[in-house]
Amino acid sequence: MSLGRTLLVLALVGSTAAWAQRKKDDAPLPYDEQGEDDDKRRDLPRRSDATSEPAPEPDVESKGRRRSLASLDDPNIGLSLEVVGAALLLDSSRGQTVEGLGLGGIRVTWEWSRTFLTDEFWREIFFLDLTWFASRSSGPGGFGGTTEIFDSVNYHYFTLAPAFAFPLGKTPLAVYGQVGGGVNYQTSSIFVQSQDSTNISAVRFVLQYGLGLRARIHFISEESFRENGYTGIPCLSVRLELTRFRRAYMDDTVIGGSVGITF
Amino acid sequence: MRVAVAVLMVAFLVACGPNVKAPVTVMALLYNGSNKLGPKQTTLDTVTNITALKGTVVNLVGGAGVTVNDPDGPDPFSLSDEELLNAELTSRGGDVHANLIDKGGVLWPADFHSWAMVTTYWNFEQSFNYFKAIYDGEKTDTLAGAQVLYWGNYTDLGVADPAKQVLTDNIIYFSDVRSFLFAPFSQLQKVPLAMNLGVVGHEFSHRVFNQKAFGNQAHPVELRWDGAPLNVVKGVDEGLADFHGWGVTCVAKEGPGCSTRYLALSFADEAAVAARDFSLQGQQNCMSTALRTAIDNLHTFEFQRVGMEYKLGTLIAAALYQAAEPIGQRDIMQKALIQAYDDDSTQSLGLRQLFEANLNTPENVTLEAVSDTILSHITGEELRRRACAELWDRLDLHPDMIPLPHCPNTATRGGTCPQ
Repeated sequence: MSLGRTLLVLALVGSTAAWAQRKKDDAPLPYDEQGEDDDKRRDLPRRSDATSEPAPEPDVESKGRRRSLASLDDPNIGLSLEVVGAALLLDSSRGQTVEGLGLGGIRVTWEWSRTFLTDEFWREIFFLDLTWFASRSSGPGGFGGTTEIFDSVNYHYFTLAPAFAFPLGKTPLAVYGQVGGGVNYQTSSIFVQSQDSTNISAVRFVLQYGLGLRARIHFISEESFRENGYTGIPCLSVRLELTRFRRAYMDDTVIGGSVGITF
Repeated sequence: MRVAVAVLMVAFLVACGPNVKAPVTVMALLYNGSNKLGPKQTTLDTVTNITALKGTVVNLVGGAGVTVNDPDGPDPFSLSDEELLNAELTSRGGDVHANLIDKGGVLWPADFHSWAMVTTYWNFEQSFNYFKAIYDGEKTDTLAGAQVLYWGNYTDLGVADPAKQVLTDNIIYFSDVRSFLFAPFSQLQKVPLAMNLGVVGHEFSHRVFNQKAFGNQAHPVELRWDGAPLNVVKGVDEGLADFHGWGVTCVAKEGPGCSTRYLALSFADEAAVAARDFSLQGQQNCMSTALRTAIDNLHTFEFQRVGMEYKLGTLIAAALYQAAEPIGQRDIMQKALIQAYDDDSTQSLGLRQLFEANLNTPENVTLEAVSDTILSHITGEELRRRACAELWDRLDLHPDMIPLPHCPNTATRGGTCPQ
């Protein structure tokens, strides 16, 4: 049978059924006592039964279902190693506000809340920085002195600073603030009129505080992670920061950032 | 939480600077036996805030700026002292923060400028002590308390070349703002001028001259003069400053010892240093035709531009030195000079009285008049005779034309310089 004929037969059957239905609709409505199924309707209950409740879930299943899967989605343990590069605006002893110096350093960051907290939000909040910042001023020069009298100074800051990060939505960015402390180790060598240098050093308390923007960028795409699972590839961590040190009675400012990897 | 608060409180307590009272034991760059500078323990006896280097003698200020000769600014002669200060001290600056390390009760500077500032304060303290001694009982309250604009910016808008408007490699006493100003070093790469004891003593002498000879005017009316009278005044001011600067080197504890060549510490130009050495006995410290011509004919701006005030000053200092030093009467001469600045007694008027009496007749302010004013305050007959002979000779005075009434009759012209 051709397709045309099949369609024609279906159309005729359909139109016949529609005609029969219309004919039935046109029939007069029966009185109540004339209904065919009156007896059946009277048998229905006047109220519905209460909705049945599901059976209680066993505890072991409940806990398992509520457990956060955040650590599975982002399985990094949150241990970072970063290289710091910045401008150190040293408190100016000569009263010129600041002395600009270069600064480098190494930072180890532990996002400890990723280890101890399971909540998807809170595990992104806390971290701890252990940092060594180092800078050097070597004369002669305007800050270091003249060719006949000059001072070479090394500044080392060793600090431990807890931080609080606030993730920016679902982006890899987070702003953070931190307050911590440590020590400043300074050495100074004064050279005068070609004589042997005289050296002095000191360890002084340092209060550290600051703000910054931190990014943790995954090396591996989400699709790749779903297909292949976590293969130990770390994240790239990048940071921009404004950090200040209260060095004894002096105030130093660091403007810069760091870059490294996060495991 | 309590622990955190306690830690922070301890941190801020530890963060305070050294809270010590004078005398403060410090290390400064002072002089050793071979007359070289080096770290040496000393005390600052007048300091009240060691990290800000403020004390009863001077107060160091960082980041300050002075601007003068602004073509759009008011006439400085028309301003009150306060108005002048506000007009020219264009940046007030703030405290310096000496980086000091406490080692067993001795404070060690820990960077170059901290060494420089501690040494600078020490230099001012020594200079003040020198003047306090030769003021000989006279009150020195007004001498103390000046600001030292450390690494200060001094911009002279009257200089045509913008590249040369900002002062470098210098230290000045600028009475307009009643402050010393230590300008940044640039070409001078030896001992910075503020660390040079003799130079600081020299500048302190300018403050003395302003307070006494100019009656403590911020912008002395005498500066309206021009040409010979003002050239003479400038030369006298520089000469007395050289003499006192040398005097400070003589008496300062842990100082270099008497040195008329104190400029050699800071200037590499040996010829320039020798030209300022007023102890040299040859004919170099005699009036030359060129200097005489400059005094008489150059406008003061030009006179100073070519450094003639220093040449004249060296001759005056040389005369005073040769008069007093060979007979061991240095301190008598120094005290006589203090008296000569300002003395309103009728027998021996001071420089201030000479200037004030001739505000409208500045032509009377001559080398002879200035010399006679100094001579009138020298008490010893022999010293006065020697001083007269030296000034007469080295300044090529003409007592036949302008009398020197306080020159003893026994005095004759010295024999060093050609007539």
